[in-house]
Amino acid sequence: MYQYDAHDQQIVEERAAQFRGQVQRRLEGSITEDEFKPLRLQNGLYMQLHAYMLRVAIPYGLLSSTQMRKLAHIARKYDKGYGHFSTRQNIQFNWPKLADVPTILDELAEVQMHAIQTSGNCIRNTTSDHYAGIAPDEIEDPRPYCELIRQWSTFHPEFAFLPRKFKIAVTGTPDNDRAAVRFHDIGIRIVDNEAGERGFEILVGGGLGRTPHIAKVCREYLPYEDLLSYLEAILRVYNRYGRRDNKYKARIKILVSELGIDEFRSQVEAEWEQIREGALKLVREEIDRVRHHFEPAKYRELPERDLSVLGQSLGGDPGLRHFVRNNVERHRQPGYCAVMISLKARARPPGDASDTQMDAIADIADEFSLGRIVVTHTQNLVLPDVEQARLTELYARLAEHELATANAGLLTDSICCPGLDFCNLANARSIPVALEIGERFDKLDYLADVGEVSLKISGCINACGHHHVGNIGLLGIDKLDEEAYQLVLGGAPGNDASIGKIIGRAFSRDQVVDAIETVLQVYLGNRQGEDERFIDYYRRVGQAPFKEALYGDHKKG
Amino acid sequence: MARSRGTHYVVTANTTDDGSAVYLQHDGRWVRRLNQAWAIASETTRDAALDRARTQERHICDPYSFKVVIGPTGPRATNTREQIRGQGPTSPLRRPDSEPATRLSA
Amino acid sequence: MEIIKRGEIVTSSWQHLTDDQALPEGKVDVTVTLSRFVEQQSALAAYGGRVGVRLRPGDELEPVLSQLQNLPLIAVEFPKFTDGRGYSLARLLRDRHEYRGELRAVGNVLRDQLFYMHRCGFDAFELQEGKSVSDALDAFAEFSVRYQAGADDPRPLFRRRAASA
Repeated sequence: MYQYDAHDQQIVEERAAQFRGQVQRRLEGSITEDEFKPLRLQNGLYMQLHAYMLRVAIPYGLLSSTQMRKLAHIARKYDKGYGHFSTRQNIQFNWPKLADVPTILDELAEVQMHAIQTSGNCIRNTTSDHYAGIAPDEIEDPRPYCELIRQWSTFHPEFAFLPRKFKIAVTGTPDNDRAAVRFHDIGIRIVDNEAGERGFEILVGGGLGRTPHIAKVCREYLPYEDLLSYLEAILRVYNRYGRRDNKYKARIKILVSELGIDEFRSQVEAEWEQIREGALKLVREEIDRVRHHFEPAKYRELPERDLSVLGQSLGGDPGLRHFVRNNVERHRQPGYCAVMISLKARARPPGDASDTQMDAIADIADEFSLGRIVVTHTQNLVLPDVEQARLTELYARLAEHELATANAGLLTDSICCPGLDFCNLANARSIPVALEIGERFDKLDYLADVGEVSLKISGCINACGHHHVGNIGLLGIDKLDEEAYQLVLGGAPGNDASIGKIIGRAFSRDQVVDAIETVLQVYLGNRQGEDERFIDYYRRVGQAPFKEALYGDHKKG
Repeated sequence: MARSRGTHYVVTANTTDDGSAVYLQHDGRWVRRLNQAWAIASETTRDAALDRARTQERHICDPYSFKVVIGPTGPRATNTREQIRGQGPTSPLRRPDSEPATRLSA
Repeated sequence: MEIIKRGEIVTSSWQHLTDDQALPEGKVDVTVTLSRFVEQQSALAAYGGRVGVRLRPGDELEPVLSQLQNLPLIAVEFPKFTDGRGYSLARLLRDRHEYRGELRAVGNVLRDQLFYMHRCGFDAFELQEGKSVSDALDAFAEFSVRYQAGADDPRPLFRRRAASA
């Protein structure tokens, strides 16, 4: 993984020192909260319902075991013993004291981490495929480009006060997008052109929030050396012309849709023509320098096993069989696999890990996965480099720490925002709903029967829980002072991107889990065999049978 | 932010120190328990209290008011947001010593 | 008033005229809005003091381009510090149009924006009223490393790395 050089290191240390000064000025009263707010936000420090919340950047989700131990230490020493992994592949601490935050940043800097630009109207953490670098279907590892973007965007002097936040995602697997690039302000797909030359397809104007948009193609093919100049051109057009009169219309998706993609593109291209041959043109040496950090590990020569039969051969433990089927993913290196650690254990808030679990994961990563861990946008963790022959042993170790829940990709592997339990913006709670769903549907055989389905829960219209792209989505609303939930069906984030539709009137807190059960019954009772996934069934039949079952006459009163 | 219903107003903020929710008392001090807050009957008094609170922004952040009803033990929030804000998260926290003191009914 | 110019505290005598303020008697240096600058060219040419242009964040640069190199000062207004359009204006003026005169940030200009402003090409700063100019001087030194090219370094760090490798 990328290792800081002296320049990178100095920047994060100076940032921590700068923030110490800013916190000092706030505590002394020489700056007001209004003046302090954008400063703390640019360091990922929010004010929530009960406390500050610090969001720490995990660039493209990649962590070393040393970094994971540091996060565990921070959770233990400065917080309430846990951290929350977010849908942006970051980690959030929910209870830091203001005066401790500069020290936390110092501690993070010791392990090449920071909280720079994890909030505020600036370019945020660049996200990527959680199987980057190991996926068999990948054409090139996207992380070197993510790192180049990270450095370009860090303290970019022109783009610190954009109309609104700005999120970029990169995938190196254009045929199987696991990074939801179509739902980012800029989505980047590594592609080859007709001449077989490597470059990027640039998508723009995607996003969730109040008005979900699927990104449009801004440029079908961009030579690799022009990446940063093209991003700069898009950002400059957005910075100058994005709406600033209404925060709900300030994202780039609104500018793109108001101008139309053709006009937007022509403005970007005109700007780009002016700068493409300038200092931002990438040089081979730097790409190679960064790429060198992501070279494949020194793998052992091992025989490849058939994962589909591996689970059966591992003896009688049904949990292990489910685990191998659901949580183990193919690897490009023969004899290796990637293992998903589900942070969706029963009765645990989705995405949370305790300090002791984080320490255990760090140890397990050292022992089983070359010391690397990846945070997924589905709020789980991946051990990317596990030898297939050691799966049984690994499963046992994970199980000791409540980390072997075999539900990856299944209903209870839900994405869930913090909701009204923590968040200032939320209208309804998310976590208790996810927990109730986890309790109601906790039989692995039932979950396996339902099969692949994504459940995504947002506590408000800002859609941090990605409900628009859940096969099943829940959107928390406030209905006359009561929490209520709208049910959204049919969303998907990948190559077959679609935005879910609200099925009908909202359900109360008491009804919502029953409603999900009804939806599952409709699917299970009517699908064309077990191979028809929930999303396939929905796309075939539409909303009608769900509406009938949820709101038909017998449900009235 | 959800509206709230009620007969009185309470002025609230989060502390600069740790961000915890605090409520204004009549003597200008801030307390952590809503039921010890100053229940303000009139909008004029509320506005004056808010103005005064804004002069204390070194110690507190973004003061605002919301409506409450008066229960047997003092002011009580009527919307879920302020109930949770006053009592802590309703979902389980990891460390036993950090469990919220009281729980909302599910 | 005291301002920061090229890293030092100096006294500025420039007056920022609103559109309904008449030109002062005498030779006071003034800035006028872009529209006034365009509409009252002859009157401004006859004025005894120096005349600079004051840009709003949404202004286009085309109307001033032909006279850019004669302008003694361009002020860019930051009505709210969160409005970042002025940063792009500065970069366009400096990088694309090679404006070399004084480029001054005015309005809601606060210490913690100065580093970015300076890197975009501003060389003079009128701080928000009530803010300490001498405290603000410290802001320029908070970072010794920069990833991007800027007014203080024409090469992004990756080019400097490549050159020193």
